[in-house]
Amino acid sequence: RRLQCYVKLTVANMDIHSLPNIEAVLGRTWEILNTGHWKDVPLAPRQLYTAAAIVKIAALLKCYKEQQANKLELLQSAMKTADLGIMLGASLSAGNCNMTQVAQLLSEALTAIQSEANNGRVNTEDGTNIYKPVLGTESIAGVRGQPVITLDRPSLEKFRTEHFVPQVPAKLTSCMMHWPAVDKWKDINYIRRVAGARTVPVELGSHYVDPEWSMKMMTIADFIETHIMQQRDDSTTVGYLAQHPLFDLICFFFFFLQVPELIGDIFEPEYCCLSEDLDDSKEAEPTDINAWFGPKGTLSPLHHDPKHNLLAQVVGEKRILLYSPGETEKLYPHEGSMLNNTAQVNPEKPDYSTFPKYKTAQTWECHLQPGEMLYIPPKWWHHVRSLCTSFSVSFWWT
Amino acid sequence: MKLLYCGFNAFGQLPHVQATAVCELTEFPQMSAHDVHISWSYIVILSDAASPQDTAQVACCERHILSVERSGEVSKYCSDSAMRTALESITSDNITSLSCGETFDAFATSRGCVYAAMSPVLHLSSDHVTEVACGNEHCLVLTSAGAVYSWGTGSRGQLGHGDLEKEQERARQVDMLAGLKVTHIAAGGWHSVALADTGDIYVWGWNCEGQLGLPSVGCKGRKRRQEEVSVQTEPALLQNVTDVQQVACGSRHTVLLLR
Repeated sequence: RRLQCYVKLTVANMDIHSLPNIEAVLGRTWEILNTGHWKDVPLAPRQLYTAAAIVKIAALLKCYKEQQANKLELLQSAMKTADLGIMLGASLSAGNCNMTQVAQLLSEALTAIQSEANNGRVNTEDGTNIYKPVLGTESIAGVRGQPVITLDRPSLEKFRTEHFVPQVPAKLTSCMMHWPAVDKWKDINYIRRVAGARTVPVELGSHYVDPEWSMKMMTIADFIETHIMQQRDDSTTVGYLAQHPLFDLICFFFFFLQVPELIGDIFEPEYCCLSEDLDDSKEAEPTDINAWFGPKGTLSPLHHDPKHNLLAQVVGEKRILLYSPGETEKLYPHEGSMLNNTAQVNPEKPDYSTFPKYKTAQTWECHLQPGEMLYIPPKWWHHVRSLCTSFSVSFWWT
Repeated sequence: MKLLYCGFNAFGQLPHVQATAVCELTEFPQMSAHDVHISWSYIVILSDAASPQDTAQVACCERHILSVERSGEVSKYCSDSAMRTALESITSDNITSLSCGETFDAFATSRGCVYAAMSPVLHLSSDHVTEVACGNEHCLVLTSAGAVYSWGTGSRGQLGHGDLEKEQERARQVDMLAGLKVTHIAAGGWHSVALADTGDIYVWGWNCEGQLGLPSVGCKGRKRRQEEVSVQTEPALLQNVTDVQQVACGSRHTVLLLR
């Protein structure tokens, strides 16, 4: 209610001076959204956040029209506001404002301005050879495993009886042949053009309690520049992979919500329609589609997820190690409710004196190349390392 | 004493100033006060004009203002009702200090008991409570012996036990401060600060905006990523800061008063 006063204040005089008011609404609502568990946050504050974001964007655009200077910063601020609105907000029941569309318009405007500014100085650097690994899986330190079974475009029924129901992992080939992404995303300049202006939350570090953990909001263009392109020049010395102490886990949870243009480049695998629930009348939960984009050497430490997972490799290559839920004890999961889905053992630097049971754990291994998908059943432990710049899409479903 | 204000002013917090934000400390006109409490919705000024004897302690948060009299009676005031209502007594003991945060209130009694969200979370046998501080989801307690206890949600390390677990049953002592005598505590939205008798400051909890005074991802300027701290799960000594007299926290910022 009090926040309504702030909004009225801003709408009355929408100019640069009223921005602190609407930012107060956003700031206060942001704190409400950050209190307690995200899943328990009620709809109302999220809708309020969206409404406030709309007002802020309107105020910024009004300034954009009237001002001569700082036009680019105003648009960038509006873009960031729209992205945060998509990530944190919820659609309003009244009115016909669609934040994703607003974001798309802003993104297109920004891209147009920026390419104008570059004066056709288009990125001529080859955006494609970053997706080729320099070293193979044999150069990774630590344990090796038995290869996961590979199936070439299995029928739905075969996949269901032999893998989905008994919950056994499998590598699936020839299932992404019609994905435009496999070709289009080979050029990083395409991603830069379509999504460069967008703000994404980048999580760096293996998990919260890791002292290196941090979360940063940055634009995809900045992310590509600082985390992907810089790695390109890194030495190709033997042992690079072993030396580099990277624990970057980079997942864009809202990527496809934010950039629907890229959704047209992928297809949800038909296997995702399978469900453990035999009740046909119950409406299925929509599949969670996430983007995993990162430089060479990014690593997901050994952990498990509650849903079925199809990890589709679009460009670049990954090495995945798998352990069945039956091996859980041998992997020494962390104590505590926040981290017990993460293991303490490090397959790349096994410490058998501290973790003796790990020596007898059965390891499965999979080298995932572009166009291949890996089925990871629920609760199966997995450890993922990218061998070069990599873009994968994961499909989580129940 | 003079009262100076800076911050958001769109609701006329500073009555004679028009601007929506006051960036420099500005004096409250014709006001002489001995204490002030501030929250998102309320500013409570204990002016010199009123008798300071009656009210023992005041605390405010977004939801309401709480005050406890010397008599031990606790009242609640909130702008909806425009009335002061007496709070049902949760205990027959005298309430000596209180604090309120976004989601709950905390009270300490003369007999060493601390109540949070209306149920006891701490019993001290040989010590008593000098201060209670509430954040958005946690509560800190300081005893006269200089020990610090924490209670509530710990998902941002604000409890200081080296993990992200919550303590909902009982307030737990912050062991890493056990060797020190803490003289003052403060709680922000998701962070905690302790001032030791040496004048040193210890900080823990969320550092998303640099509120712990440690290198933060939110801050501008180039920093090696390895130095950045997002969540500090156990008390860290603030380097290069000594002789601190007092500390106070806002939702996402901290202020230190040096000698």
